[in-house]
Amino acid sequence: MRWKLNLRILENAWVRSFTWRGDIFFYRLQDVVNPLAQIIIWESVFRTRDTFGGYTHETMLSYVLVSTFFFALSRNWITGNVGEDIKEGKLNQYLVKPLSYITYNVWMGIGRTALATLFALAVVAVLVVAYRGSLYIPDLPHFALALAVTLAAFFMNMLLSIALGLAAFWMTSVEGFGNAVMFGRNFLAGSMFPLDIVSPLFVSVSAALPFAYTSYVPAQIFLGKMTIAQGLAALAVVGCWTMILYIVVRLEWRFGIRRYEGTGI
Amino acid sequence: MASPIISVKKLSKTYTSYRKQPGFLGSVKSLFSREKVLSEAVKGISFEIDKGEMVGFLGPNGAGKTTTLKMLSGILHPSGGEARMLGYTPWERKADFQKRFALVMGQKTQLWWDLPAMESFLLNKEIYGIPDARFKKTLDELTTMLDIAKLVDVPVRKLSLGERMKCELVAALLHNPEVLLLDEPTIGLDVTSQLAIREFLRRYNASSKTTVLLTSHYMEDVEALCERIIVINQGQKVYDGDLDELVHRTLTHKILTVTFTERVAKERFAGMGDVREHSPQRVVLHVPREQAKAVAARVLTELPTDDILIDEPPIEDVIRRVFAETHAS
Repeated sequence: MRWKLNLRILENAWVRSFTWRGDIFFYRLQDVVNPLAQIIIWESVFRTRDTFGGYTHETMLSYVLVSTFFFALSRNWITGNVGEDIKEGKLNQYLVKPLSYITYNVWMGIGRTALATLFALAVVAVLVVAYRGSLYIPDLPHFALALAVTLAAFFMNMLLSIALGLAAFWMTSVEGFGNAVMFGRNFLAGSMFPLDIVSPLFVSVSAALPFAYTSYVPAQIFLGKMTIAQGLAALAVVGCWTMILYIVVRLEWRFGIRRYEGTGI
Repeated sequence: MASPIISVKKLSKTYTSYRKQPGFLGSVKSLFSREKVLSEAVKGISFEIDKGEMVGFLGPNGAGKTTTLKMLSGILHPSGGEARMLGYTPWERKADFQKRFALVMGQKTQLWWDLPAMESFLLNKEIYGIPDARFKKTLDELTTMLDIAKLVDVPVRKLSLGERMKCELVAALLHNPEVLLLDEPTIGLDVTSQLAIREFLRRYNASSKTTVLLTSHYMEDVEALCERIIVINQGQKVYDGDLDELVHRTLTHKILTVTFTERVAKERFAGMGDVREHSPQRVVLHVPREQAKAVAARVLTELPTDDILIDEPPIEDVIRRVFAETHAS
């Protein structure tokens, strides 16, 4: 592992993020608006009832906060970057250097996501203080397992994003494809609402796909709605998806690079 | 005898694209059915380049110059043939190979657009594993030679094209590559910047003995830097050799530009050569090469000459003629 190189990539990702102050402000605004909007909706729902879809006011608020944090941790912007590199020929500059393009993107992703997660954590911390006494507090094993699933899902999601981006070797433009998958991801991840309030079928379908493991599943573990054994099984599923996506990425790279023409502006 | 640094044998590359009819209807149709088009960008070219050579790679747009450079740098897999650079097959992209060459593309940047060039230099330092002391020494040397020491902390997007190209060269040379592939390094630059880049490359090649393969649209680049040129047209090599020799072989005339102290009638130049331009006190003659000296002597003795210049035709004429001959054959 070339730690000095990886740390330099990480640092560049941070330096670049801080270059555009306006962008930072508006991205972070999303981090505040999203959980606030959900809290406002759920507060009005629980004004007239004590439970909804098996959630109390306390567990729903906790769900919103932890899913916000877990979702921030799983986000990345890699698909667009990889797709653009291939489409516009910017990949050339990486192909001529002693550097793994995949590893480079993983570290860039870690850099950007770490920053976004830090801000999301700050927002969640403020909300935790504001709602202290009305939140669910998990035991340590559940908390640790939820965090482990989220971290594993972060790498799984990163490989998924790279896999989608590398599709540009065949599709040239992956903007529409990536956006469609990312919309499905946001919906099926459970970051907008707990998936089990819709239907058991919806939960089953989501569990078979990788997305729910980035937000809904770790939130369920956190809230004690999943046992430690179920949580470990979820971790194994994330591991399997990570392996599958790693193989997909390797195959895409191996065959895609032979098709690459290095053209563009 | 040492083996060549670059060896290319029957290298070829065919691109696949899809033909689309114009307009909205054509776009809709192309969603369901597209006509595949194959275009041969490089058709079995072969050449060798020895250590320390500085070779000009010439050809019109679409001749296959950049495609060849991309194959030599490992960006593209060829459709056929072989290439070895520094003893490696480029498209295997071995790290040991990548540490020994650099590619600079005038129309693409390797610098981070939003950040000062120094951030890209530091990233390259880690990518190539350059020790701290060597990095500092090389950076100091290069920034001094190119006179950009004060610019390395300015965001790249704020630099002029010429300044950016100088930073691109620094980024590419930090790891002291043995082979430098330059694709249109002076494209779009003003005359002063072109001269500065040219002078830098000449001095760098002389001091470091780096092997350089250069493509350029500006013949001045090639004339100033390269003794040997490889000319390709429509994917095929049409000339490989000495630039001067090509000039002598291709061009049958020299240009005499004469100014006079008095008015001289056009008829006075009969039998001296082809009159291309004439004004009462100035004439431009195209004279067969072997008669140039004799005609110059006649002009000096027979006419009221103020000044006389004997020039080679511009290199563009040479290349244009080579391309025309290839088309005709």
